[in-house]
Amino acid sequence: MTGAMPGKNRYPNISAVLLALAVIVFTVKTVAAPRSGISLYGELPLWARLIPGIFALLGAAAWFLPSFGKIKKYVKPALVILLATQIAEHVVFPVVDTYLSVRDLTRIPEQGKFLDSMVYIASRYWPDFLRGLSVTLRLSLAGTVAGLLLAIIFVFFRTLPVGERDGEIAVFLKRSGNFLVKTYVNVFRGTPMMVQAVIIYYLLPVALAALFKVPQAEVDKIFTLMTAGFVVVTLNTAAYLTEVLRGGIEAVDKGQLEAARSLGMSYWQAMRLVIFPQGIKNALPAICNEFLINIKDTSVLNVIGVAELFFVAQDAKYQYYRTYEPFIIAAVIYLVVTLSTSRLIMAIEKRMNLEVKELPSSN
Amino acid sequence: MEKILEIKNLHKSFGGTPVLTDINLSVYEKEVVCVIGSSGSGKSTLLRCLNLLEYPDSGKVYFAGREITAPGVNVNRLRTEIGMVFQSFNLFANKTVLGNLTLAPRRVLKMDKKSAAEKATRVLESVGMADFAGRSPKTLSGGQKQRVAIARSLVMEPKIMLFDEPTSALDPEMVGEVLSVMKGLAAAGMTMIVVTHEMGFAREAASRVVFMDEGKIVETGPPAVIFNNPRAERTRQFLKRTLPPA
Repeated sequence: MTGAMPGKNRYPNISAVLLALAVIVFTVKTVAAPRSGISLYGELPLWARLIPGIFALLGAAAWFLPSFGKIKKYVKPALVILLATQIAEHVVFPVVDTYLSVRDLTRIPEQGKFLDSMVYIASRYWPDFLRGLSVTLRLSLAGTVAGLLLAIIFVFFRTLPVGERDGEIAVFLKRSGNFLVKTYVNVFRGTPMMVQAVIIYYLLPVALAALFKVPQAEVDKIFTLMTAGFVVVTLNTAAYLTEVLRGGIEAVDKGQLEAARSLGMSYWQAMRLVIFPQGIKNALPAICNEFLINIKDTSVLNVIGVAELFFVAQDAKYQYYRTYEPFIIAAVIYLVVTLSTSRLIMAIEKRMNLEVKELPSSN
Repeated sequence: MEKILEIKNLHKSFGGTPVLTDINLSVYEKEVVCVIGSSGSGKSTLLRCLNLLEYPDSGKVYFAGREITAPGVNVNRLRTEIGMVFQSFNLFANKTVLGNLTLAPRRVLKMDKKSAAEKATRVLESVGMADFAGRSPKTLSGGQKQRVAIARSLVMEPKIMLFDEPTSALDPEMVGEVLSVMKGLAAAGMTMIVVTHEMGFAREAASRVVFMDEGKIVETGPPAVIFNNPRAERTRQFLKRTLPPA
């Protein structure tokens, strides 16, 4: 679009200017401190190393000159390509260089060599990090889905209305169902997941064994660490999503229920076929957000020893006697995963809205 | 003519405030009864007591010979025989137009998908909305929505239709299309109770007009009498303010 319409875009495009600035900064770095080792720019003469910076200056200036209209649309892609080469030069190649230099080491580089230590740990411990990430993702996905299913059941009891013609028993049952769900939600939202994890992991198997009068060993066989982690995430998520769903359901227009009932549907039919689908759709962004939160919050399960991503980072810390390098690796992995997941969710949400606008032909 | 609905000594109050006091009214088959009166006079509550969206505090309602206010009445079955159209349409937002019409026949009357769709299409044709079957309700105009809402009730083949201010939420331009659908229904012999502010419709289509004030029925009579020669002073006041000077 930029530069396509004459008379428009007199003002510099903000992303183009930022790109130009980044290119200029990297150019200064290339000129002032040329790299040795693998390099794109290292062997080039000084004037050639200056070209990206000069182009960036001219490109940024082009936005102020109306007569440059036609070439404007090429400036931004060109800047992106230049910046990519510079990022390769100053970020990727150094990491590759470092990897080559630590590849054959038998001991971790000394304390001060931060990048070297990180690359050393990552290059040797990556299968464990990957396994930890897989545990994290599996726990948070399964926990969110199971928690959502549980929350859908809970929210039904939470939103049961007491009618004026209900008998005393019906009123008592509805009230107690509502009270139980409310209490559950309060307990699980009012305590840290880390504390819940410890209590559930140590207490639940003992309680189950006593309750069903089976030997402890039998229960422990089923109630593994992963099961415990799954139960904790599920119960915690169910508490939050119950309230999220209640908000979504209460946002559905009251007339929808009345219309359904006036056509002869039972309360249960009306809720299942008309109210819940709309309520869940209302709550969808918050449900997806809960999944993102779970990716991060499963890290507290390290307290009972679930080998998720944070736990693996901690392992690496004891293995290599380095305090922060493993955690920075873990942080980068968490960041990449959460950001890409949220992008994916946004794309899906956008598409769902589009579908509604495009009008499905029939149900 | 057969008496299809009878209301006897009906009372209803909300939190101690009386909304309906001692209502007595009979409706005969194929009658079109228009209920008029100022806002807050209890017209809508009366209508909602007839399909038990509200329960009367006391009094009895008989529908097709059965007392529907008796304990143990199957409310869901009853409501399949009493259609209701709301002021705010209340079309199911998660369904298409066709889905709105087929949902209750399939789930309540247990019709199969194909025959429900066929029947729904026929009813949509009768209200001039067949071309919109695949559309989502939110893409329709108010008048179109209300016509679909009427069709949604009709597809259940009710014995009586209740209209709760069906044109009050519409742009003036769209009132006509909804009223003409209702007139067509009346002409086809549907029994209807219509709560309305459309005096023109009441005068033209009603077989009887009921004027309510402060939760009581003040006066009942043929439109010609109510509009031209009302007996009660309160009716005269109300009509003077709502009818354009002749």
